Amino acid sequence: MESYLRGGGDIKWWAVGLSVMATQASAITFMSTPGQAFHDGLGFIQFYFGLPLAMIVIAITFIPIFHKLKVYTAYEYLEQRFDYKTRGLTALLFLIQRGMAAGITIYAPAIILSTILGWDLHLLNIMLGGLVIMYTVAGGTDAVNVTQKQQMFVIMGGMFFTFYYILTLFPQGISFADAIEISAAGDKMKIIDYSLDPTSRYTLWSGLTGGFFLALAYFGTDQSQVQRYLSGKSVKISTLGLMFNAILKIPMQFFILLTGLLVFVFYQFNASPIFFNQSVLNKINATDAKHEISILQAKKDSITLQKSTILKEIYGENAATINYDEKKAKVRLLMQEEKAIVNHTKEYIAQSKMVVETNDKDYVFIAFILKHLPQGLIGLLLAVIFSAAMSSTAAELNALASTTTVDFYKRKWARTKEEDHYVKATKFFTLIWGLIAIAFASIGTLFENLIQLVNIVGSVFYGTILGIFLTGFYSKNISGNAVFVGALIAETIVLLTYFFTDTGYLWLNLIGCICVIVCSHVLQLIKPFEKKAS
Amino acid sequence: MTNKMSNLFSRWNKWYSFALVINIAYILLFMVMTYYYQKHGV
Repeated sequence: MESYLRGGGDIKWWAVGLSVMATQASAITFMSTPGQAFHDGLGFIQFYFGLPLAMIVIAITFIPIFHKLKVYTAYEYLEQRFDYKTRGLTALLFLIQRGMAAGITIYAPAIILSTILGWDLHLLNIMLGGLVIMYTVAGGTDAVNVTQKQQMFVIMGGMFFTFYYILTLFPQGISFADAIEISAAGDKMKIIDYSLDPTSRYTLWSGLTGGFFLALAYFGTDQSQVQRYLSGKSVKISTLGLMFNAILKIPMQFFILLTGLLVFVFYQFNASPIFFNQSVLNKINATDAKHEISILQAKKDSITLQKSTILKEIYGENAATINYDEKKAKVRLLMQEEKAIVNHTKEYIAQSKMVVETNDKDYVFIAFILKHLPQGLIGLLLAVIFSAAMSSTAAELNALASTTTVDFYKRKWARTKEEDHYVKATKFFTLIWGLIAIAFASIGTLFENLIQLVNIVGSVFYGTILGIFLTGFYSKNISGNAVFVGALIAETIVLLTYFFTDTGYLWLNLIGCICVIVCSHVLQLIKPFEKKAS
Repeated sequence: MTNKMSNLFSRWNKWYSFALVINIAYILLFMVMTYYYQKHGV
């Protein structure tokens, strides 16, 4: 059981780091992030600014305690510190939230690949899910760690090749530095946003605070991550694994965003579709709207041609310096006009009421890959997407099965069985959770905004879970009853905040966490809870 | 609580300082890039 759940091999610190990274980076990260940069620039990187500090807090506080208590799951700690009901509640919240997310980790790339390639969605779900179930059931945590290491090499290798190849697609004389300057004209280089507006999703402040709490909750209390760094045999190995992630996470995400920026620059010289989700465009084109869409596409193509000519005059190998400022101003104007046409198209599609999702950022990169990269590289990029999907799903199934076995089955229903029995039980639960994930992925099309729904569900629960752990670590006078009731109150407040206010869902993490800490301290002052303090 | 907080700082090591310094450098670099390209974009 020890080797099946924690990993039996002598795993190195960098392999722990790669495993932590591979678990977080799902297929949607590699498909969606370049599209994010293509549309909104590099500002998304601010989302990761709180992560390194969260890694340090986890390394100092969480890891030594988890190692000292020799826990299999993070939630075991809560029973030793509080009581079983607090452990059970937290583990249950994790199972609900992560069980749904596992389905999405399979569904999200499958829906995009099936749309673009015309492959059967259910077949893709079963293929992705089935493969992951096979090796995760057979090898447990060791299998997850070993495959994640190889998957990360495939992922990063594929992304580096693509990055280099896009650079070779630029017209003669356009260097990487020129490309960055061109993207700045499209407002893509506004990396840091100092705005204090709470409705702005990615700012320096929301990244440092909201991002910190989200990363603390995800890496510190989500078993799919805890299991990764607890596979390190000592505190030092686990800690260095997290520091590896703390140092490399921002450059890695920045590199993926830069790839999206290069795609943006490529499309300043080449015609691009007016809407990247081709299946939506096909639906619209089957109606009377076809004429309007083709007019808008023609306008956009004409602007691209003008931009391309002027940019080549500024940067190309026969660059002319006459009217330099005037040409720059013209490029900016054309970019704004193009943006207005794209936005108008999206509004037009939204008005058609045929489709709900008018955001095509998930489709930008894959559409570019399929149209402009050579066949060998397309194959490599598809391997990247499959690797990323499998690496996250495997870690999730591994964690879901471990939590079901350790926090419920072994603790509640079968306390005195042989070790071998629990290994078999964990394998069985891995299979069951895998089948649930495939089933959830297969009915994914029934829900319109499933990906966002899962992110929201995560934020609704993460804050409360983090609050319980932080209270356990830092407030030794709080009893199990106080934190349990405090968590229920906090969860109610979070749900009320979500349903009855316009607060951005990232802030729910912070609200939930603070509410648990405050409520449990207040409740501890009330008499019935007083005696139970540990 | 205070005891725990002091434990937090007593467990600090060079790797944490290194990670923190590197990440502050990233953010400063992004600030400079944002400023530079606002002034010198196309």
